[in-house]
Amino acid sequence: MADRIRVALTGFAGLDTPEPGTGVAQALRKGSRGNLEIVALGYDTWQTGAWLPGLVDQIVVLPPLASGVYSILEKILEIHEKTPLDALIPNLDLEVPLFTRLKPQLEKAGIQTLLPTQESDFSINKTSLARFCYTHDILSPNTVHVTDLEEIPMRADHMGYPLMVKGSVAGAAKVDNSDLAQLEATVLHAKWGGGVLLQNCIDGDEYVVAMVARVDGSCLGMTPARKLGTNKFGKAVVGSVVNAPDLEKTSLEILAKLNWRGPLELEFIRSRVSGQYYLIEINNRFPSWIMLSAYAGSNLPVALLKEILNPGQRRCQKPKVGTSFVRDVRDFAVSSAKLRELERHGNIEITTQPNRTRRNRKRKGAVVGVTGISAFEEVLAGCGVAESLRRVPEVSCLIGLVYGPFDTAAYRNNTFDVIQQLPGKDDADKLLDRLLSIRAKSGLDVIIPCVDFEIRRFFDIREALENENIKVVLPSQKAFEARSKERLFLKKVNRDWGPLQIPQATTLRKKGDLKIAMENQGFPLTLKCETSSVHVTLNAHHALSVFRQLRDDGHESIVAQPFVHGEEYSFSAICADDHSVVEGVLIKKLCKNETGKTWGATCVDNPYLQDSLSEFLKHLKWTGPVEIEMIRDFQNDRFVMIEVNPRFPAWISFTRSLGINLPQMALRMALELDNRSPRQIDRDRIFMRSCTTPPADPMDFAEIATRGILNHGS
Amino acid sequence: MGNGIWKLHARASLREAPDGDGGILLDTFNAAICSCNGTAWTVLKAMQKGAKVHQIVAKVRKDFEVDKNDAERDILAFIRTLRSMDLVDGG
Repeated sequence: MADRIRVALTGFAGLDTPEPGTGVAQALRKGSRGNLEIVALGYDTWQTGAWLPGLVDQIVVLPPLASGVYSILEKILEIHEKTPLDALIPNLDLEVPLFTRLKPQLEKAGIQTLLPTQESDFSINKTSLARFCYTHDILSPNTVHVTDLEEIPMRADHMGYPLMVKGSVAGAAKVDNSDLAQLEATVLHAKWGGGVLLQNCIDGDEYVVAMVARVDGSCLGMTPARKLGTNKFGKAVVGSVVNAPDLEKTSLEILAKLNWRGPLELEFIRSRVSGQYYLIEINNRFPSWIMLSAYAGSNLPVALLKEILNPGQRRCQKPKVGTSFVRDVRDFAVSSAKLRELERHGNIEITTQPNRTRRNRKRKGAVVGVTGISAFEEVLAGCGVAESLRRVPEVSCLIGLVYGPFDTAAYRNNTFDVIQQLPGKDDADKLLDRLLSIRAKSGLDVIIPCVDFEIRRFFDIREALENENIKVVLPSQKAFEARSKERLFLKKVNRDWGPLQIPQATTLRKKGDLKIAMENQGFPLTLKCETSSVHVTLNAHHALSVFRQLRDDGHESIVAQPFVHGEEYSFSAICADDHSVVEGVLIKKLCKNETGKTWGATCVDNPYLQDSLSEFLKHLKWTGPVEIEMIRDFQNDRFVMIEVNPRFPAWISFTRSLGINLPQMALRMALELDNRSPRQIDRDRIFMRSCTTPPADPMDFAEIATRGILNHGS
Repeated sequence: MGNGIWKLHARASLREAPDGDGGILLDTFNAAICSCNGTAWTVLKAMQKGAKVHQIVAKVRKDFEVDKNDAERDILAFIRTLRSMDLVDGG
């Protein structure tokens, strides 16, 4: 790519199920030599991938897809008129047919694309794929498209379990019974429409192949990989390039039958019984893990762009086998003025450069261990705490304490000096032995526990650790017990907390309790456990399914509360030994994922509420870090407490961007250092989070899994 | 087990640990990773170019203090494991 090239990409949203545009942009950036401008096209301002520092040059908000092809064309031509675009790469399933329709107009204006025909695209969409496989004799699991949801239990029972329930466009869930099948089908149909697909599960390993087809349908390049770790959404969190000739042969045979042009992804399961590859899905775009092709030396987005601009490119070289990725997250802050500009004008130029910071070597300070450094299923608080403590002068060595090789932040070699594995979930004595052995080898002055399930274990060994001069940043056990959901919501607190409201709840010990709660509280009804996500149920059937699932998962204490409508807020603070709040930050959640976790937020100032929260924490006799989550009831404007977490929240690195680094302050308290210097909050900051797919070395997986240690320092 | 030459399959890739103590065997066909200690590493390195069992035993005994019969028994067991994973040819 010699001259300056300007390419428009879509697909920068999706939060924890990231759309592929972010990966495509990163791969293009990696393959360009400063001659590339990227324009991110999306449908709202919260395309958090596009805001990643240094990734794109311009963000544009398009009219919604539902407004029709011509309003989208009009917007693209408007951008093109101001600064001409050379190429456009759509990265969302629903957009590909739309841009195929617009291809003549785009090309007439000078914007090149490489897209399949409408017939090819239609033949592989989720509802047509079973027919395509049957027609072309391609091995695939039994799949039926059900449009009448009342038929789900009967069809599901007929097919047998386990069974995959898939949305007509995206989304999938594995189910074991007809209740769950019905529940998942209802959710997926409500989201995507068009009914759902029921697909028999094949027992085996998952393989994926990213490909690019030239304009004549031939293969320009392919990257085959195995999913080594998948999260609850079935998305690859860890993957590795493989050298599987039969998989490549099968993929090329399928490509030959597709008459395809442009990028695509084939998904397979290799049967554990027969060793054969079953095609389970074809996607008409690159996958979100496409950066793997760039790490492996076979950069498919670059190959695609070259093919778009100069058709007839030579076949890409084979990707380097064993190259791996781990999906992680990156938290950052952007200017609130820029976000507002995008909201109001639908278009902004970005000039931010990527942060290129290196770890300081040979620093003076404490050796600090942080747990909860994973974004595998959800982003744990340790990820944010570690980013807050990266390169602060009080830390000489930052240790990431992990529970396995797939704790995804373990591979942040710019954040951690060393990774140490902790023993499993139950045994406190083993945990103590391991921590003391770490202390003996590399030193350990302070531990900041960041995962709910481990906190009781740390209470059990806190005294023994402190006898060895290892400080543990936790509240007192008494305060910890007082904030448990059962104690907090079931005990009548005869006190007026001002704008803060502590709602009542019902404990559910048996099915009959749930029936009473449903009768008394109506719907939506919130079901919560001590250490799991909150479930908002919409009807009796839904509530019963969730209740059964929670009981089956081993949760004994389930509480029910009426759902409160309103904006969500979160307050994180650290309390001194006299239980006063040393410093606190109140945020309003602006962007949440499907499980309610914060992916975008702004800092707000509400002294009246903050005073009440401080009073409440004093009442609990709190010390150390805390997070209080609230919903501002839209009917009466009161802040209804949802939860009190005995640790920092995952968004905590935002406090560093605001200029009041709470983890650093908590560390200073633990080290008995002064914390009294005045602080100014930089309010022109918006918190954002995006998924990233950094490279990982298989050797590092093995180091953690077998030796329990990974040294980033040398 | 035959007395012929045992050779690692092309799909097996070896990566030495940074500290030189063992390494990993990567099955490039399915991305399976096996972590190997020093003894296993010596056996695998010997089989990279192809070797008979008695040659592998000699190599292991050169680097490690081990009785000949014990070494032979353990090496044969290791080869059996590798064969069940389709990572070795010959014999």
